[in-house]
Amino acid sequence: MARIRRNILSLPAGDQTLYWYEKAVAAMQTKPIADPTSWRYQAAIHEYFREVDPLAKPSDVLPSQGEQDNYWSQCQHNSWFFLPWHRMYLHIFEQIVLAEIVKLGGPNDWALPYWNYSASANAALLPVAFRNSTLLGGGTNHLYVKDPDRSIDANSGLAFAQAADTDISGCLKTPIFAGAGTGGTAGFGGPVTAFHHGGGQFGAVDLTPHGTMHMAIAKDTGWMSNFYTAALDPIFWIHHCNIDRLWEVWLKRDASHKNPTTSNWLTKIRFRFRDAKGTAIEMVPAQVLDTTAAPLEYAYDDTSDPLSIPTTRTAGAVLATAARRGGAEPSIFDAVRGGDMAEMIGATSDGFRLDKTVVETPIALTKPTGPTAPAFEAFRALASARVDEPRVPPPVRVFLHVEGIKSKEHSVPYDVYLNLPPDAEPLKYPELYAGRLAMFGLVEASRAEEDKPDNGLHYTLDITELFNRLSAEPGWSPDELRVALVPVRDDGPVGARVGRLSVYFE
Amino acid sequence: MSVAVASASARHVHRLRLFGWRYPEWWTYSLCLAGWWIMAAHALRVAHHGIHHRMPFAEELLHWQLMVWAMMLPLIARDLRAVAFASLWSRRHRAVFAGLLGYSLCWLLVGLPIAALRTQAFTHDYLVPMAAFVLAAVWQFTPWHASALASCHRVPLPAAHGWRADWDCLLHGSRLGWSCIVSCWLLMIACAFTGHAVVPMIAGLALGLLERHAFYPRIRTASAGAALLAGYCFILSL
Repeated sequence: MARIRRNILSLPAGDQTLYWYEKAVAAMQTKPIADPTSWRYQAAIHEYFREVDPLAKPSDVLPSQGEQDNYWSQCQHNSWFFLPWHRMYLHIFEQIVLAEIVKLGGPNDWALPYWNYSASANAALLPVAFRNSTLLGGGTNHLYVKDPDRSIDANSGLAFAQAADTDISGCLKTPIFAGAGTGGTAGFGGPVTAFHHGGGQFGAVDLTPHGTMHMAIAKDTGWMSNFYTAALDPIFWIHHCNIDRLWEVWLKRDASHKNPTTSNWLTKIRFRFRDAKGTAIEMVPAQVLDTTAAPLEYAYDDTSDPLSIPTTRTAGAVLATAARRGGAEPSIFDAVRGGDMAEMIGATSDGFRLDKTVVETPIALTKPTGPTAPAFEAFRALASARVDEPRVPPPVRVFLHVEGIKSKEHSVPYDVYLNLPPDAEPLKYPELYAGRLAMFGLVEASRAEEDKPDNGLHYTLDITELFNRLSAEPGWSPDELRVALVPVRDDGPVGARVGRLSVYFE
Repeated sequence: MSVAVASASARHVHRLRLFGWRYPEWWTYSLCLAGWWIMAAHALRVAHHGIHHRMPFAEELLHWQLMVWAMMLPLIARDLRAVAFASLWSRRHRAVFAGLLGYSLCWLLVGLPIAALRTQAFTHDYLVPMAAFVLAAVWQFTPWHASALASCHRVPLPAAHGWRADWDCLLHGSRLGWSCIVSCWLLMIACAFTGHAVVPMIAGLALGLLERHAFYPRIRTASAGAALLAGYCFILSL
């Protein structure tokens, strides 16, 4: 029978899910790093970088180089493998925790809880069990991570995440799973890639709430801000459990939402892990699509649709895109490789550095001449229509790309606004807000490694609705778009360099 | 005839148009095919004496460049495609051309000393490509090869308009070319010293595809392949 993963915020009184989690974490933390069932080995599967390991001890005996090459630093981000790989990772971790719990005399149907921080402002506070260094009855709380390795506000029970960090409307409205990486949508799950250990274009859920919550909990520089320390924080697993749940929510909320069906995604790459007994195993995405079947055997207590807005608005644009491609409705090709017909209509010529103040950059837009030219004419017609006329969404999707963001140091997240009035206070113009750049994985993406170039981070923001609205504003110019990047906090590290801003029609 | 045939033909035209939209780099394959065609014709002409066949410097240089296009263009097609998609629609082919120009110029520079060496009699011996293939097999394990291979997938960020757009594409192509040279120089030099023989070229292309498009990054099959090619040259030298 499938075990049930429950919301950490609505566990009934007397429930022992977190009691046993804490006990298992404590047991795992006593094991040496070379033990595949140890806390530090599990974190190293995500990524390991000895020079910045906060728990490194001179007495550490690391596993062999071959073991590290095969099983460590394997996490998949900025890729259509982001969701399936993390599902496998969670499954292995859950099995190890469960084995520890059973060994300690706990229940054999224990399942990881998830943290649905998007439900309300209160839900976004750090769950109580993670806030204090000592347990209620005394003794060390192994779910606690001391400041400043975690946000001080988070540990204090104060609000540390903003609505933009927990917003799931953008990702759940993304109509297709994977992007083609050619300028259009990045998809719900991420762009089509081979084995991809980070850097590059973020899928919608990889960016928000995944990346934004990582950075909010870490407050820019804590453990959760890096690939190589994130999984050392016990909240990491509860956070990722929610991301895994959102995949189920996305699939169920609209019949047109489908997983890729190509073997390139399903079976081509065999991801390596060590199971709860330390045995080497390989897993493929095809094995983890049905969570209730073996080997996963779990279900979420709530996968209901939290949004009242139907997907039809964006799906309409997809249908139009498909029609342009010669099909009556989206084909499986569209579902798998959306964005392969995107057209760039403007880009900046030079890179620029981000600062503690608002950095505004104009992008000169050009009239498209390719497959999206008719859609552009539709925009012009809309722009010249009377403001009070009913506005039909134009048959095109518009994407703002913030590309090639690099830095050797961490960076505070940035909010993106379009066409802010001169000297305006951005927070007073929420209607011009386009999205948040989380900056999770920035340092890793800026470092060239054996299996990846230093391409930096690449954010794709769907600005269709905002662009449509702006086109109705008096004084709207179809020839220019002004993009303002606003630091989320003024006390965080800054200085990352942006390679390019560009706008694409799809 | 008419309506059915006309509609079928319109469908084909539409499909071709879609193909052109999706794969703006399509025309670079004609250079690749031209390279293979001329190399194969040359191989047929000189039969199995390719390695002993001496040509003037200019002809050697031309053969080097054709070999580069034949073997390397399939490896960088998706990178040239990325340059096109990162450019304005009206500049896509121009962007691919600029990228290809930057890429080709880098290889041409490497070709100059190789062509000069090929005019010398002592290089016309199977032991020379054999040694190069052995070194190529070892090179696969060096960190320089690994980082150059990763750099082959660098993302282009060209300006949208004017000479800056052309220059950025040219520069991106040359960076791509430099990465490919660091990653594949010994393999290419070895193939050149076989007298641009078709068998090592096909094998070299297969190894390149294997190491760049393998879904898992730590595959070192290319090294074993290069070692096999060294063995092949050794047998021919007997």
